[in-house]
Amino acid sequence: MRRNLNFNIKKMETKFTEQESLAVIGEMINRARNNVQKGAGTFMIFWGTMVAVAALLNIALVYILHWLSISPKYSFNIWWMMLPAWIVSFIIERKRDKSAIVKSHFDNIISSLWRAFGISNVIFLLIIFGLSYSLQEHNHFFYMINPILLLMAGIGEFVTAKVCRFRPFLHGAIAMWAGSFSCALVVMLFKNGNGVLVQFLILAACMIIGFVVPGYKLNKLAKESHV
Amino acid sequence: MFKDLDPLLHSQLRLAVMSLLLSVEEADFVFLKEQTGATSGNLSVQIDKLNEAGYIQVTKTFQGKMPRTVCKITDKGIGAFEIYVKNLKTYIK
Repeated sequence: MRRNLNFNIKKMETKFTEQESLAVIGEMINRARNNVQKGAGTFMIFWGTMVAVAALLNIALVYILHWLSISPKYSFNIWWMMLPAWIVSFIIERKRDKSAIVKSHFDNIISSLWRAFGISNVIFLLIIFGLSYSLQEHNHFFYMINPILLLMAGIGEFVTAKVCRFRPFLHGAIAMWAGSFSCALVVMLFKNGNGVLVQFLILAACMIIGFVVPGYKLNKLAKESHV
Repeated sequence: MFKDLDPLLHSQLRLAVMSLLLSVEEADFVFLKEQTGATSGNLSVQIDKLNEAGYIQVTKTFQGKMPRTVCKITDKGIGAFEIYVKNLKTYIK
């Protein structure tokens, strides 16, 4: 439902008082600030779903490959699906940018923040793989991947929540940080190597709670604000 | 001492458009129409006036086959808006 204006904007050329003038400024600034782009949450839904699916497929593949007497380490190749996902996400974002009827300063900040998150992820993974291969020590380094990625995602969600003033992102940030801590904890609890599988379960759950759910809520809000 | 308010800004629709544009990086005609509740013709006339004064920058493009008008506030527009608000304060006090 559109909110009713407390002034009649259609009579724009009529004289209006200084108080009304201030009311117009306040109302319009507030409207612009509370505006949410249509499909703003699609990016989060997409990435949340992709990572959750990849994590669950990774777990399934470990068991399938083990059953087929193939080394379960090949199951990690499922993460290559993130490359085409990145291209699809780029196309989604570009399409949304083109059709967006408004571009706010906040949109710029948030997209820069998540772009920086993406770049940091790639650099972090390069560091982890580089170190693990040069030091010939895989397990300890690989156990670090999920907790640190979730930790960084928590930062992104927290800043997004504060900039957008959208509470579900704050819940997402808490989920990411709790997930990060839990991922480290399971390594201590599961000494038999199953720790990384439980980490993937936690990662999938965090993606659903922290990305998919807030994304749907944001899209719902955007739909309502443009009716 | 009371100062004259900029007549170009002291109009409900033009002031609404300027306030919206001040809060965003750029906005489409559809967004401005949606937020102000003004008619297309009325809004179009006021946007032209603000554009002629150099307060906003209007870019007309095509999205597919549909024409698209994107508005952005200029530095001159920001300056005029700041002076308008400053002068407005002298009336309110």
